[in-house]
Amino acid sequence: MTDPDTDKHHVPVLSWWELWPMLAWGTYTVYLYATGRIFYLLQRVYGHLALAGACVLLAAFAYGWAVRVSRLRSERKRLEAAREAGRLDALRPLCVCGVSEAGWGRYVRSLAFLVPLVVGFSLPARGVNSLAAVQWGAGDLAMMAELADRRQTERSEQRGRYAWTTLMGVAQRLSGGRAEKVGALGFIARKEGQPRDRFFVVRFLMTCCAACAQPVAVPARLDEEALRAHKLVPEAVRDHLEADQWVEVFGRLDPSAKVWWIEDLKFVREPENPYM
Amino acid sequence: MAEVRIGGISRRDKVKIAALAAAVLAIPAWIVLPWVHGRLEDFFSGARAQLFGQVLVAILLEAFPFVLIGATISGLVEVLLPPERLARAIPRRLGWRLLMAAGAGVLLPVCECGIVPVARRLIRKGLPIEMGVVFMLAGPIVNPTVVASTAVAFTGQGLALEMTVARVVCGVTVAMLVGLGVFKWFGHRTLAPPTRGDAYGHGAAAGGSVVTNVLVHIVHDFLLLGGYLLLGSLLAAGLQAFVPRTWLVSVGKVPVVSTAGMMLMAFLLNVCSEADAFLAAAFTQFSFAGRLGFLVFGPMLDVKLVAMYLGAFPKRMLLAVLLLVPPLVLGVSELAGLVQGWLY
Repeated sequence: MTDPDTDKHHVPVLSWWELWPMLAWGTYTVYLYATGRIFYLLQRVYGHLALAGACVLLAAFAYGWAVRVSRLRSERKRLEAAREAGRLDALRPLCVCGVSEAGWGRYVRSLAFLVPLVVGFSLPARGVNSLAAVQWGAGDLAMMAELADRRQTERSEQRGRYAWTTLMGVAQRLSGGRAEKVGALGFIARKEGQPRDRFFVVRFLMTCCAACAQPVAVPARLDEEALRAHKLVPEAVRDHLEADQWVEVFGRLDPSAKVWWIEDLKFVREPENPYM
Repeated sequence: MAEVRIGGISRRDKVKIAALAAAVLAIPAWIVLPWVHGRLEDFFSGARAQLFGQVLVAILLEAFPFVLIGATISGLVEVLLPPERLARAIPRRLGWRLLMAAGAGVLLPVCECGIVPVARRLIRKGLPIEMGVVFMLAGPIVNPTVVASTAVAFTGQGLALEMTVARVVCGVTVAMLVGLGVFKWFGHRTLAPPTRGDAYGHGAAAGGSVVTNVLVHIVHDFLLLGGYLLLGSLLAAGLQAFVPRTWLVSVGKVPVVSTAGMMLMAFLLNVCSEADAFLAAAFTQFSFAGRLGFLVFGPMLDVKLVAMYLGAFPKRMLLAVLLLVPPLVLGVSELAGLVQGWLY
């Protein structure tokens, strides 16, 4: 098909401006899935769905590339034959125009796919951080209790004097007025201006993706006497309680003050699955 | 074999130029790229930049499979559905047209991202604009997955039946009222089919197989809408990283303002309609009307959807949707809240 405006012979196949985003995004998603990093950003089911989408993209790329190679090859053979036969229309150059509308928009859209790829490759492999916890609503006990109530299957076990449970279980007990000794795993978050011996122990609940993760944040304070009884130096513990530091904490709930008094604490690495 | 020239330069010369460029650029790239990557990693180790990046990539990873599903359905519609058959299926009466469009969403288990390319394609195939709008707005609410997830999310609060029924009824009502408004504004019109010189002209002239033609349309729609989805995701990530949710949550107890606050939160959060019920259920400090407003407004309008609508539909149609949806959702949600309070 000849374009009268450009006098070029159009070959209607996918251009590389259209093929490379499918290859790049599909490969990137497969990489995230293979390394497990996708589950820092998506809930499990959505992670599997993203992998399926990536496989479809890569299949579409492979098919589109194959069609492109095949058509260009047949167009070249046809042009060769036409030139040997002395046809003047065979002198027009070929143009692989792609399937997007003509104009600079298609190049901008194609290059724009670089942005999330560059951002994604530069992100550390970790869950949503403490800034999100503070911005997205740390400290709302009623909300946390509601989240906990929906998870009826939560179990707890005994660790020494403490009932080891999830942070949701802690929030549920605290908001329900139960004064117990409990332990759970979470990371540290602080609101601006909060003293160093007061903080939140946080873990995110993910329903679909990191963008809508809900923080379950239990307000906590250091019980210095109890820490000393467990052979910990309160001042040293306080100094090491940085935002985003993961800890296993054990202590007693104080429903009247709505706070968790920390009696024992262990610094740990971020777990493989940082979400609940 | 005679040398074939494409675009003025022979193919053999193009390969030579590409190989030379790769060799010349390889060594500095080997040094520069790791340095750039290191600087970017340092930048994204900052809390706010990290949050921005995580939200951006998460929204894209979650949404792109649905956009792909929608683009696939759209490609199949374009290639396999003749316009005459579509025209024969459309009822004459406006009421039936709007109801049919609202009910069609039951057949498509995709969220709001996936329904945009389908609605766009149907409108370009000759579906009346008001039907396309109703289908697009009601579809993400009436689809079986969303209905099921709403029921599950509110079971613990004993609101499963009320919230599910209210969501479907209010969603369909708002969509049909918007469709009625669009009909009054545009009349019984369809959009002109695509002109020569764009992708469809090329694809149709390709003479390829059905699979190839479907692929062409899938790629076109995916790249077009993917670009606008990316724009919307950038905006949404910026808002999430810089705007605290807590000031929206603080208006929870004030009637009407509470509903408007929840609608604004739905607009900013960009939650998929198949999972937003779990989030809405957690906002216990908000009224029934407020949480209903969140559930009805979110699948119709949020930051990424507005960006996708911008790329998919005429500006006047988008303007009609932007003007009609917010007040209607607010009014219908408040009314539903009053009815729920009266009944229970």
